Amino acid sequence: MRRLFLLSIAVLTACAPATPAPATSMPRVTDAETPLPPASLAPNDSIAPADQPSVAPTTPPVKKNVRLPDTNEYYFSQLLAFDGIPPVYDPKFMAANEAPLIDDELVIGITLDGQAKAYPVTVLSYREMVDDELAGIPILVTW
Amino acid sequence: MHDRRIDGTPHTFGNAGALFMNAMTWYDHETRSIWSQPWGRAIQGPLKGVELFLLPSQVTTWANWKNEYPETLVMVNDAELFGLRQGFSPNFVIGLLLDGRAKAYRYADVTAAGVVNDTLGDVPIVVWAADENFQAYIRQADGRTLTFNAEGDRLIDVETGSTWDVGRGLATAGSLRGQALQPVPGSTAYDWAWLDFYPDSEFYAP
Repeated sequence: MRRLFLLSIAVLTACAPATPAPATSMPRVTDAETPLPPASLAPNDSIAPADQPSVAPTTPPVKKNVRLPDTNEYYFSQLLAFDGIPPVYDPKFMAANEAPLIDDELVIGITLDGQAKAYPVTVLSYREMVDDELAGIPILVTW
Repeated sequence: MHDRRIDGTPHTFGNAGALFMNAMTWYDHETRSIWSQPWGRAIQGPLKGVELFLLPSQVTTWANWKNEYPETLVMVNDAELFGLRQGFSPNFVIGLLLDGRAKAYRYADVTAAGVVNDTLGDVPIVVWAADENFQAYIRQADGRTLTFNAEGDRLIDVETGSTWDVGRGLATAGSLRGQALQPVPGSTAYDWAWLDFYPDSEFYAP
Protein backbone atom coordinates (compact mmCIF):
# COMPACT_ATOMS: atom_id res chain seq x y z
CA MET A 1 0.00 0.00 0.00
CA ARG A 2 2.73 2.38 0.93
CA ARG A 3 4.56 1.58 -2.25
CA LEU A 4 1.62 2.39 -4.50
CA PHE A 5 0.94 5.49 -2.54
CA LEU A 6 4.44 6.69 -3.17
CA LEU A 7 4.15 5.96 -6.84
CA SER A 8 0.79 7.50 -7.42
CA ILE A 9 0.56 10.33 -4.93
CA ALA A 10 -1.40 13.32 -6.08
CA VAL A 11 -3.26 13.47 -9.32
CA LEU A 12 -0.28 12.60 -11.44
CA THR A 13 3.18 12.22 -10.12
CA ALA A 14 5.98 9.70 -10.19
CA CYS A 15 8.53 9.42 -12.94
CA ALA A 16 8.31 9.81 -16.68
CA PRO A 17 6.20 7.29 -18.54
CA ALA A 18 7.72 4.18 -20.05
CA THR A 19 5.32 4.26 -22.97
CA PRO A 20 4.05 7.07 -25.15
CA ALA A 21 0.43 8.02 -24.92
CA PRO A 22 -1.49 5.44 -26.90
CA ALA A 23 -4.45 7.61 -27.68
CA THR A 24 -5.08 11.26 -28.19
CA SER A 25 -8.78 11.52 -27.63
CA MET A 26 -9.96 13.94 -25.07
CA PRO A 27 -13.15 14.25 -23.11
CA ARG A 28 -15.77 16.22 -24.90
CA VAL A 29 -17.72 18.86 -23.18
CA THR A 30 -21.15 19.55 -24.52
CA ASP A 31 -23.99 21.75 -23.46
CA ALA A 32 -25.47 18.91 -21.49
CA GLU A 33 -22.57 18.64 -19.13
CA THR A 34 -20.81 21.99 -18.86
CA PRO A 35 -23.15 24.64 -17.56
CA LEU A 36 -23.03 24.01 -13.87
CA PRO A 37 -24.11 27.29 -12.39
CA PRO A 38 -21.91 28.91 -9.77
CA ALA A 39 -23.02 28.42 -6.23
CA SER A 40 -25.83 30.65 -5.18
CA LEU A 41 -25.11 33.62 -3.03
CA ALA A 42 -24.73 33.40 0.68
CA PRO A 43 -27.66 34.85 2.61
CA ASN A 44 -25.79 38.02 3.49
CA ASP A 45 -25.10 38.89 -0.13
CA SER A 46 -27.50 41.43 -1.48
CA ILE A 47 -27.76 40.49 -5.13
CA ALA A 48 -29.28 37.53 -6.90
CA PRO A 49 -27.71 35.75 -9.83
CA ALA A 50 -29.65 36.38 -13.01
CA ASP A 51 -30.08 34.31 -16.11
CA GLN A 52 -28.14 31.35 -14.88
CA PRO A 53 -28.52 28.14 -16.82
CA SER A 54 -31.41 26.20 -15.35
CA VAL A 55 -30.10 22.98 -13.88
CA ALA A 56 -32.23 20.87 -11.58
CA PRO A 57 -29.77 18.41 -10.05
CA THR A 58 -32.34 16.39 -8.17
CA THR A 59 -34.35 15.53 -11.30
CA PRO A 60 -31.72 15.47 -14.03
CA PRO A 61 -32.46 14.29 -17.52
CA VAL A 62 -30.61 11.10 -18.35
CA LYS A 63 -27.32 12.14 -19.89
CA LYS A 64 -25.71 9.64 -22.20
CA ASN A 65 -21.99 9.34 -21.66
CA VAL A 66 -19.59 9.52 -24.58
CA ARG A 67 -18.38 6.07 -25.59
CA LEU A 68 -15.32 6.22 -27.80
CA PRO A 69 -14.74 3.37 -30.23
CA ASP A 70 -11.44 2.24 -28.78
CA THR A 71 -9.55 -0.74 -30.16
CA ASN A 72 -6.27 0.06 -28.42
CA GLU A 73 -4.90 -2.44 -25.94
CA TYR A 74 -3.65 -0.74 -22.80
CA TYR A 75 -0.98 -2.18 -20.57
CA PHE A 76 -0.63 -1.42 -16.91
CA SER A 77 1.13 -2.84 -13.92
CA GLN A 78 -1.09 -4.42 -11.28
CA LEU A 79 0.56 -3.62 -7.97
CA LEU A 80 -2.18 -4.21 -5.43
CA ALA A 81 -5.54 -5.91 -5.11
CA PHE A 82 -8.69 -3.93 -5.77
CA ASP A 83 -9.11 -1.45 -2.90
CA GLY A 84 -5.63 -2.29 -1.58
CA ILE A 85 -5.68 1.43 -0.96
CA PRO A 86 -9.17 1.70 0.53
CA PRO A 87 -11.39 4.42 -0.92
CA VAL A 88 -13.69 6.41 1.35
CA TYR A 89 -17.11 4.86 0.73
CA ASP A 90 -18.69 6.41 3.84
CA PRO A 91 -17.65 10.08 3.89
CA LYS A 92 -18.52 11.97 7.07
CA PHE A 93 -18.75 15.74 7.27
CA MET A 94 -18.60 18.68 9.62
CA ALA A 95 -19.53 22.32 9.25
CA ALA A 96 -16.65 24.69 8.45
CA ASN A 97 -16.55 26.30 11.88
CA GLU A 98 -16.28 22.91 13.66
CA ALA A 99 -13.63 21.27 11.47
CA PRO A 100 -10.10 20.91 12.86
CA LEU A 101 -8.28 21.93 9.68
CA ILE A 102 -5.57 24.57 9.63
CA ASP A 103 -5.96 27.53 7.30
CA ASP A 104 -2.89 26.69 5.21
CA GLU A 105 -3.77 23.15 4.25
CA LEU A 106 -5.07 22.36 0.81
CA VAL A 107 -8.53 21.09 0.00
CA ILE A 108 -10.28 20.13 -3.20
CA GLY A 109 -13.68 21.77 -3.27
CA ILE A 110 -16.82 21.50 -5.35
CA THR A 111 -20.05 23.46 -5.48
CA LEU A 112 -23.31 22.30 -7.03
CA ASP A 113 -26.70 23.96 -6.79
CA GLY A 114 -25.54 26.31 -4.04
CA GLN A 115 -24.08 23.54 -1.87
CA ALA A 116 -20.35 23.20 -1.19
CA LYS A 117 -18.12 20.37 0.01
CA ALA A 118 -14.38 20.24 0.64
CA TYR A 119 -12.03 17.25 0.92
CA PRO A 120 -8.67 17.69 2.68
CA VAL A 121 -5.73 16.85 0.41
CA THR A 122 -3.85 15.29 3.31
CA VAL A 123 -6.51 12.58 3.58
CA LEU A 124 -6.90 12.20 -0.18
CA SER A 125 -3.17 11.59 -0.48
CA TYR A 126 -3.68 8.40 1.57
CA ARG A 127 -7.18 7.35 0.55
CA GLU A 128 -7.05 8.62 -3.06
CA MET A 129 -10.79 8.23 -3.77
CA VAL A 130 -14.13 9.27 -2.26
CA ASP A 131 -17.54 8.08 -3.47
CA ASP A 132 -19.94 10.80 -2.44
CA GLU A 133 -22.84 12.91 -3.62
CA LEU A 134 -23.65 16.59 -3.63
CA ALA A 135 -27.01 18.18 -4.39
CA GLY A 136 -28.31 14.81 -5.50
CA ILE A 137 -25.45 14.25 -7.95
CA PRO A 138 -23.30 11.15 -7.32
CA ILE A 139 -19.70 12.38 -7.47
CA LEU A 140 -16.28 10.76 -7.48
CA VAL A 141 -13.45 12.66 -5.83
CA THR A 142 -9.98 11.40 -6.75
CA TRP A 143 -6.47 12.59 -6.10
CA MET B 1 -13.87 15.38 -9.86
CA HIS B 2 -16.35 13.37 -11.89
CA ASP B 3 -20.04 12.56 -12.06
CA ARG B 4 -20.37 8.85 -11.12
CA ARG B 5 -23.42 8.31 -13.34
CA ILE B 6 -23.16 6.32 -16.55
CA ASP B 7 -26.15 6.93 -18.82
CA GLY B 8 -27.97 8.16 -15.73
CA THR B 9 -27.16 5.21 -13.45
CA PRO B 10 -24.80 5.81 -10.50
CA HIS B 11 -21.78 3.54 -10.34
CA THR B 12 -19.50 3.00 -7.35
CA PHE B 13 -15.79 3.36 -8.00
CA GLY B 14 -12.91 1.73 -6.17
CA ASN B 15 -9.14 1.70 -6.48
CA ALA B 16 -7.94 -0.79 -9.11
CA GLY B 17 -4.48 -0.99 -7.53
CA ALA B 18 -2.66 -0.58 -10.86
CA LEU B 19 -0.70 2.22 -12.46
CA PHE B 20 -1.41 3.16 -16.08
CA MET B 21 1.14 5.58 -17.54
CA ASN B 22 2.23 6.23 -13.96
CA ALA B 23 -1.18 7.40 -12.85
CA MET B 24 -3.93 5.75 -10.88
CA THR B 25 -6.67 3.46 -12.15
CA TRP B 26 -10.15 2.79 -10.83
CA TYR B 27 -12.62 -0.06 -11.18
CA ASP B 28 -16.38 0.25 -11.03
CA HIS B 29 -18.13 -2.22 -8.75
CA GLU B 30 -20.94 -2.83 -11.24
CA THR B 31 -18.89 -4.06 -14.24
CA ARG B 32 -15.31 -4.28 -12.92
CA SER B 33 -14.11 -2.28 -15.89
CA ILE B 34 -10.73 -0.56 -15.41
CA TRP B 35 -10.59 3.23 -15.69
CA SER B 36 -7.74 5.70 -16.21
CA GLN B 37 -8.00 8.57 -13.75
CA PRO B 38 -6.50 11.40 -15.89
CA TRP B 39 -8.72 10.44 -18.81
CA GLY B 40 -11.79 9.64 -16.71
CA ARG B 41 -12.32 6.87 -19.24
CA ALA B 42 -12.53 3.06 -19.11
CA ILE B 43 -9.53 1.41 -20.76
CA GLN B 44 -10.49 -2.24 -20.22
CA GLY B 45 -13.66 -4.24 -19.61
CA PRO B 46 -17.33 -3.96 -20.60
CA LEU B 47 -17.34 -0.15 -20.37
CA LYS B 48 -14.12 0.37 -22.36
CA GLY B 49 -14.26 3.73 -24.15
CA VAL B 50 -16.90 5.25 -21.85
CA GLU B 51 -16.03 8.66 -20.43
CA LEU B 52 -17.33 10.09 -17.18
CA PHE B 53 -18.53 13.68 -17.12
CA LEU B 54 -15.93 15.98 -15.59
CA LEU B 55 -17.17 18.42 -12.95
CA PRO B 56 -15.56 21.78 -12.22
CA SER B 57 -13.67 21.69 -8.94
CA GLN B 58 -11.06 23.74 -7.21
CA VAL B 59 -7.85 23.06 -5.30
CA THR B 60 -7.06 25.79 -2.82
CA THR B 61 -6.29 26.44 0.83
CA TRP B 62 -8.88 25.77 3.50
CA ALA B 63 -8.78 29.48 4.38
CA ASN B 64 -9.65 30.48 0.83
CA TRP B 65 -12.37 27.86 0.47
CA LYS B 66 -14.23 28.57 3.72
CA ASN B 67 -13.97 32.29 3.08
CA GLU B 68 -15.64 31.81 -0.31
CA TYR B 69 -18.14 29.19 0.93
CA PRO B 70 -18.69 29.67 4.68
CA GLU B 71 -21.61 27.24 4.50
CA THR B 72 -19.35 24.44 3.19
CA LEU B 73 -19.16 20.99 4.67
CA VAL B 74 -15.77 19.34 4.98
CA MET B 75 -14.99 15.63 4.99
CA VAL B 76 -13.57 14.55 8.36
CA ASN B 77 -12.74 10.87 7.80
CA ASP B 78 -9.16 10.19 8.95
CA ALA B 79 -9.07 13.62 10.58
CA GLU B 80 -5.90 12.64 12.45
CA LEU B 81 -4.09 13.36 9.16
CA PHE B 82 -5.19 16.99 9.04
CA GLY B 83 -2.75 19.83 9.51
CA LEU B 84 -0.11 19.55 6.80
CA ARG B 85 0.88 22.87 5.23
CA GLN B 86 1.36 22.51 1.50
CA GLY B 87 1.87 24.99 -1.29
CA PHE B 88 1.49 24.54 -5.01
CA SER B 89 4.51 23.07 -6.76
CA PRO B 90 6.25 25.35 -9.31
CA ASN B 91 5.45 22.94 -12.16
CA PHE B 92 1.82 22.63 -11.14
CA VAL B 93 -0.55 23.28 -14.03
CA ILE B 94 -4.20 24.13 -14.39
CA GLY B 95 -5.38 21.77 -17.14
CA LEU B 96 -8.58 22.80 -18.91
CA LEU B 97 -10.77 20.61 -21.14
CA LEU B 98 -13.42 22.09 -23.39
CA ASP B 99 -15.04 20.85 -26.60
CA GLY B 100 -12.44 18.14 -27.08
CA ARG B 101 -9.53 20.55 -26.69
CA ALA B 102 -7.02 20.79 -23.88
CA LYS B 103 -4.91 23.68 -22.68
CA ALA B 104 -2.63 23.91 -19.67
CA TYR B 105 -1.52 26.95 -17.69
CA ARG B 106 1.36 26.91 -15.26
CA TYR B 107 0.12 28.22 -11.95
CA ALA B 108 3.26 30.36 -11.64
CA ASP B 109 2.67 31.96 -15.07
CA VAL B 110 -0.94 32.86 -14.30
CA THR B 111 0.01 34.20 -10.89
CA ALA B 112 2.66 36.41 -12.48
CA ALA B 113 0.17 37.73 -15.03
CA GLY B 114 -2.62 38.15 -12.47
CA VAL B 115 -5.25 37.31 -15.05
CA VAL B 116 -5.01 35.77 -18.52
CA ASN B 117 -7.58 36.56 -21.22
CA ASP B 118 -7.19 33.72 -23.69
CA THR B 119 -9.03 31.34 -25.99
CA LEU B 120 -9.40 27.58 -25.87
CA GLY B 121 -10.27 26.54 -29.39
CA ASP B 122 -12.81 29.16 -30.38
CA VAL B 123 -14.02 29.75 -26.85
CA PRO B 124 -12.86 32.91 -25.06
CA ILE B 125 -11.79 32.07 -21.52
CA VAL B 126 -10.27 33.86 -18.56
CA VAL B 127 -7.86 32.23 -16.13
CA TRP B 128 -7.03 33.82 -12.77
CA ALA B 129 -4.63 32.69 -10.07
CA ALA B 130 -3.22 34.10 -6.83
CA ASP B 131 -2.31 32.86 -3.35
CA GLU B 132 -2.85 29.11 -3.85
CA ASN B 133 -6.10 29.73 -5.64
CA PHE B 134 -7.22 29.73 -9.25
CA GLN B 135 -10.34 29.96 -11.41
CA ALA B 136 -11.15 29.53 -15.09
CA TYR B 137 -14.32 30.76 -16.78
CA ILE B 138 -15.78 31.22 -20.23
CA ARG B 139 -15.53 35.02 -20.50
CA GLN B 140 -18.92 35.62 -22.04
CA ALA B 141 -21.98 37.08 -20.37
CA ASP B 142 -25.11 38.85 -21.48
CA GLY B 143 -24.36 37.97 -25.10
CA ARG B 144 -20.94 39.58 -25.23
CA THR B 145 -17.32 38.62 -24.84
CA LEU B 146 -15.51 40.29 -21.96
CA THR B 147 -11.89 41.19 -21.24
CA PHE B 148 -10.82 41.20 -17.61
CA ASN B 149 -8.31 42.99 -15.45
CA ALA B 150 -7.58 41.74 -11.94
CA GLU B 151 -7.76 43.84 -8.78
CA GLY B 152 -7.00 41.52 -5.88
CA ASP B 153 -9.68 38.86 -5.80
CA ARG B 154 -11.99 40.89 -8.01
CA LEU B 155 -12.09 41.12 -11.76
CA ILE B 156 -13.11 44.25 -13.66
CA ASP B 157 -14.30 43.86 -17.25
CA VAL B 158 -12.99 46.43 -19.71
CA GLU B 159 -16.21 46.51 -21.75
CA THR B 160 -18.61 47.64 -19.01
CA GLY B 161 -16.45 48.30 -15.97
CA SER B 162 -18.51 45.83 -13.96
CA THR B 163 -16.92 44.22 -10.89
CA TRP B 164 -16.83 40.42 -10.60
CA ASP B 165 -16.29 38.13 -7.61
CA VAL B 166 -13.63 35.84 -9.04
CA GLY B 167 -14.40 32.94 -6.71
CA ARG B 168 -18.02 32.71 -7.79
CA GLY B 169 -17.74 34.15 -11.29
CA LEU B 170 -20.52 36.55 -10.44
CA ALA B 171 -20.85 40.26 -11.27
CA THR B 172 -21.42 42.14 -8.01
CA ALA B 173 -21.51 45.73 -9.28
CA GLY B 174 -21.95 47.58 -12.56
CA SER B 175 -24.28 47.13 -15.50
CA LEU B 176 -23.69 43.35 -15.59
CA ARG B 177 -24.49 42.94 -11.88
CA GLY B 178 -26.06 39.52 -11.28
CA GLN B 179 -24.60 37.96 -14.41
CA ALA B 180 -22.68 34.71 -13.98
CA LEU B 181 -19.74 33.20 -15.86
CA GLN B 182 -19.60 29.49 -16.62
CA PRO B 183 -16.64 27.65 -15.10
CA VAL B 184 -14.38 25.65 -17.41
CA PRO B 185 -13.97 22.00 -16.34
CA GLY B 186 -10.47 20.76 -15.82
CA SER B 187 -8.09 19.27 -13.35
CA THR B 188 -4.74 19.88 -11.78
CA ALA B 189 -1.54 18.08 -12.64
CA TYR B 190 2.18 18.38 -13.05
CA ASP B 191 3.16 19.83 -16.43
CA TRP B 192 4.91 16.73 -17.82
CA ALA B 193 2.15 14.41 -16.64
CA TRP B 194 -0.51 16.54 -18.30
CA LEU B 195 1.28 16.13 -21.63
CA ASP B 196 1.49 12.34 -21.18
CA PHE B 197 -2.28 12.12 -21.13
CA TYR B 198 -3.08 15.09 -23.35
CA PRO B 199 -0.20 15.15 -25.86
CA ASP B 200 -2.13 17.46 -28.21
CA SER B 201 -2.74 19.97 -25.44
CA GLU B 202 -1.82 23.57 -26.00
CA PHE B 203 0.41 25.14 -23.36
CA TYR B 204 -0.04 28.77 -22.38
CA ALA B 205 3.13 30.76 -22.97
CA PRO B 206 3.27 34.15 -21.26
